[in-house]
Amino acid sequence: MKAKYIVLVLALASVFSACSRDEENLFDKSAAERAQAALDNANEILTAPANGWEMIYFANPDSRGYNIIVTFDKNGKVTATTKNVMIEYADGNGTKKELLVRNAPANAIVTDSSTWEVINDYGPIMTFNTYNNVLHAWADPRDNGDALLGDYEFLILHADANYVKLKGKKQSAYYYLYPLETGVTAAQYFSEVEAMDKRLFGNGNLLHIQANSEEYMLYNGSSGIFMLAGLGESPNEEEPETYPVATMRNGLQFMNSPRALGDVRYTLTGDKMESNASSIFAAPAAAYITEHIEMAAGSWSVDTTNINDSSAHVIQKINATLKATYTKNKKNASVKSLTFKKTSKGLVVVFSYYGSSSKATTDMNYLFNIATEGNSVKITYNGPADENAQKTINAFPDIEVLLKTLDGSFDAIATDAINPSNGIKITNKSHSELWFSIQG
Amino acid sequence: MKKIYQIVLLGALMIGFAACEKDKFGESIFIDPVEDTTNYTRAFDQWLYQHYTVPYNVEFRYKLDDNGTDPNYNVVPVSMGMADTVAHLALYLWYDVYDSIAPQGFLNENGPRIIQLIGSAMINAAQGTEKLGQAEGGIKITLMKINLMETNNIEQLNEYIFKTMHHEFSHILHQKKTYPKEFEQLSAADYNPDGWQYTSDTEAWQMGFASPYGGSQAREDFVEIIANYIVKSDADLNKMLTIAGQDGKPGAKILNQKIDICRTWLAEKWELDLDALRAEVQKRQNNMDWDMIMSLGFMHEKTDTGNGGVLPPSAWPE
Repeated sequence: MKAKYIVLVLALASVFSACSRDEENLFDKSAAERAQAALDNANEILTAPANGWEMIYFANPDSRGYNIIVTFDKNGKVTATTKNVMIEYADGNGTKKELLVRNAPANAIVTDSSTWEVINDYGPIMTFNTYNNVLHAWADPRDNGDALLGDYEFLILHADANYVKLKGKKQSAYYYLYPLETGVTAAQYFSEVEAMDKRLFGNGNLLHIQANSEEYMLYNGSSGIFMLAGLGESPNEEEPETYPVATMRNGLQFMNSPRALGDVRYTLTGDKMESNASSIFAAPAAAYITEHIEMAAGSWSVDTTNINDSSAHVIQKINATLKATYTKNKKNASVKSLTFKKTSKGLVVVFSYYGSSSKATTDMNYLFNIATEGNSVKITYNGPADENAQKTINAFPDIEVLLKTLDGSFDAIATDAINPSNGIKITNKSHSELWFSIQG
Repeated sequence: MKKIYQIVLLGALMIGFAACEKDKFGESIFIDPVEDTTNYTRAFDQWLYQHYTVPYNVEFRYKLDDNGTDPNYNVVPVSMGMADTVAHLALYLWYDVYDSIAPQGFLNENGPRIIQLIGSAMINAAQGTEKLGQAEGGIKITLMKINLMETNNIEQLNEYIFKTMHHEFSHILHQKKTYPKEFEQLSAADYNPDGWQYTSDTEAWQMGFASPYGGSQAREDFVEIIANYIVKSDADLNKMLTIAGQDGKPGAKILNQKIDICRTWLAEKWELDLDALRAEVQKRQNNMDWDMIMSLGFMHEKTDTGNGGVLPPSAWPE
């Protein structure tokens, strides 16, 4: 009888424990259903914008960013457009220059269609799985077999209606997509990108980036790869800290956040490019003048055609003297340019003029000093840099008169504060009628 | 009491065994795919199914999954236009040729299961070499450099595609039925796996190889003999054999011996007439009528399996 009870208790226990190994489902759907949902979601988002996406394509982690317009159709067709720029890549004999799309003209806007798909692999993978003259241009092996190391299969790291972030499956660079507004044509898009690029990096531009109390300098933006250095410092020559970047219509897109500040996209608002927690800007004009020379090894050209009346008059006198002296080149003998630049002799103004030859100029160096004083810049003329420069002044004394009009304290106002290199007007603080336009 | 005990015990055991009924799985955890009738490539995909999968049991892959390629190389997919062209050409110059020469069902049984197209070559810059194709385990033939093909250049078509297909298919055949040991003995001392790429055509021919790559190892030599014999024009074949025998070099004699071995092996092991195969390919290569090719006007055409004007082996220089 006792044995029966034991058997009964064990049997009942088995009823309650039979499935005790089962765990509660952590997810409300199966793995396959969740994977499918992720694919459906990615498909839905990528095909949503009526005018497609602007895609910022960093071929690989060391590559500058390129702009592509890409439209995903629900039927698996993808159409991509880019501007056919020159690219550089390393082959066995050094650096080789080629057109990005080899079978299209330079600077043409190239469009091609092919197929795309979102597949399951390590999560949702977006792939351009048939050849597209635009989308595969960076991955197509060149003669060296290496290509530009671009990707065409991407992990989808983030996807919503505002932006998509991808990671190249092979090269591990990051790619960004933003919806393109309805009505913007490809010609308009690339024209605006080009205009912004010229605005931000025309004539070179040394930028600053600031987050909280930290401030750094960004060099070499026109190359598409910023070099970052501490405030007042130059980039490390051997191993510069680099950040690939692309110009967008309204600002910049980094591949990775500089110094892990958290921001990768900067929008130009007023005088600055703003992001969530940091901003990028150029130094005020007076400070920028010296920064540009001292830190970026830049130069400043004085616009001799857009200049105060007094200096213009002196230039006319010099031209008349030159023509009288160089009678065989009477027609062309004239002042060509005045350029501030740093040389082995120190900071000089290179006074360049056409004398006996209408093709070759004669350049004479005159020593100057430039220093920033608060919101103004103090320019000091220190005389000829060498004997020839002195002889030239002896022959044409008005040259020194002209150079001395550049001596003094000047207020400086940039034409475009985001890139003072594109133009600064300096006005003598004591003689407001003495003003000059300089370009970096 | 005893009856109650038995009922409770029986009930408890039934519940215990039935409790896990819900753990049974369905047929698949994956969601059945729904055919997308609007897909951009549907018409081409259906065409491929109809002309490759159904008759030859082969999957013709033109969409690239990077997982299927060697990660040490940079490759790109084939364009849809070239995929379409190559799919038609492969029927004309390869599948339909075997259909007209080989025993019935030969390709269904022995043909590759997957044809994969890749747009670019696999370039090994360090070695100065590039792969034009590869065969994997008798299952898959990968054809490369398709995007760069000039469709009106039959020599290039052969180099990039058809010689490669005959080459890789011959690998599949000899992996199933090994080639004669006597073949390996003919050039045993001359194989150079690491330096073959530095050999010129003339040097290779005069050593008894159909190509420099044939000099890399015996199995490559074997399939290069077959592939070159099939696709080379009469003029090119005669040129190869003439140069191979110049200045008393043994190349022509060795090449003829190798061709004989291949011919006999294909006939005995596979019931394939190598000369008939060659004649059919040559005939088609000389009639590259694109309207006919793209409209599949050639399909199932039975042709003369004779020598087709090829210089008979007896006339070749020793």
